[in-house]
Amino acid sequence: MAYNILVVDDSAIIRKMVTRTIHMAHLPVGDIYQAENGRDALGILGANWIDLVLADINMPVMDGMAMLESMHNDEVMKNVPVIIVSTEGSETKIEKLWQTGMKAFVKKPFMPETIREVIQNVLGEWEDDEAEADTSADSF
Amino acid sequence: MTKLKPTHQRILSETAARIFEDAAFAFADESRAETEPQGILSEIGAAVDFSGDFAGTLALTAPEELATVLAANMLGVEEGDPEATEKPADALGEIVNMICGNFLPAVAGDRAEFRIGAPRSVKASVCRRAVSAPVEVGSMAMCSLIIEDRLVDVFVFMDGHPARGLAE
Repeated sequence: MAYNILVVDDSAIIRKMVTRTIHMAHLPVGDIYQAENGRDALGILGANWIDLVLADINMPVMDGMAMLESMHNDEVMKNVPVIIVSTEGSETKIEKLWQTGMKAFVKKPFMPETIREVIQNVLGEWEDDEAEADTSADSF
Repeated sequence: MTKLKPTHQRILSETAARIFEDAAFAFADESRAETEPQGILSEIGAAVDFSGDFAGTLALTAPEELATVLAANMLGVEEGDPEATEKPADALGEIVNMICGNFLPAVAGDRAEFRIGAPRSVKASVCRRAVSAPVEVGSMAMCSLIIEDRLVDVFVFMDGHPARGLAE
């Protein structure tokens, strides 16, 4: 199964960093969509099948908290797991995010291994084809 | 107005050094920061405004060529790659955002709530002018770091400081 993933951040450089990390994680990826803010993300979620959202909090137009609240109030979107990737340091705000349906929180700056581990925890284990191929090659 | 203390300057310096290291794999040499000449390099700057338990502006200035190196490191591409050369301001903006997001809870505690605005570009000259303005003690903090042999300055202007917002 290939996962369709939506990356939401107003910084193009962070969207690229997260996308690169997803590819490095050997996750079976279908399409990776990108949005600059929560409003655009909701549009993409409404029009496409998305399996996982990685989103920032502080964004113009619609921030990550408002996006999460909208998803939480939608019968279909509320089932899409959301990982927040943010500089947010307030425990109070992070508690609110948990209450609104966030599945995991990654603080910026992040290590690629952290993103991989968190995605794995949220989506469950997946078959790492490349790693398996490496292991098979080693065994011969 | 909340006043910054000398310990906050140390926290700013340590936070900034850690962010450069973790986000852009660029290591700070704090020991040389006091003596390093400025040189004649084209500098760019980025800033974020924050509000909440207290308010202010956190800004960063760096040579443009360093910002390009930081962008390449963040993106995992070679220096000179068009992806990086087109994004020095974006890289600096994201670094200033991360420094601010990590500096504020270190100063105000984990329960404090802040709203951090979107990063924006500022002129390095505006930051320099702001530093030389006569101000009340505790209304600003500044640290200098040597990153990849280049001088980087990080500023915090608290609400009430004349440079808050860094308007032209």
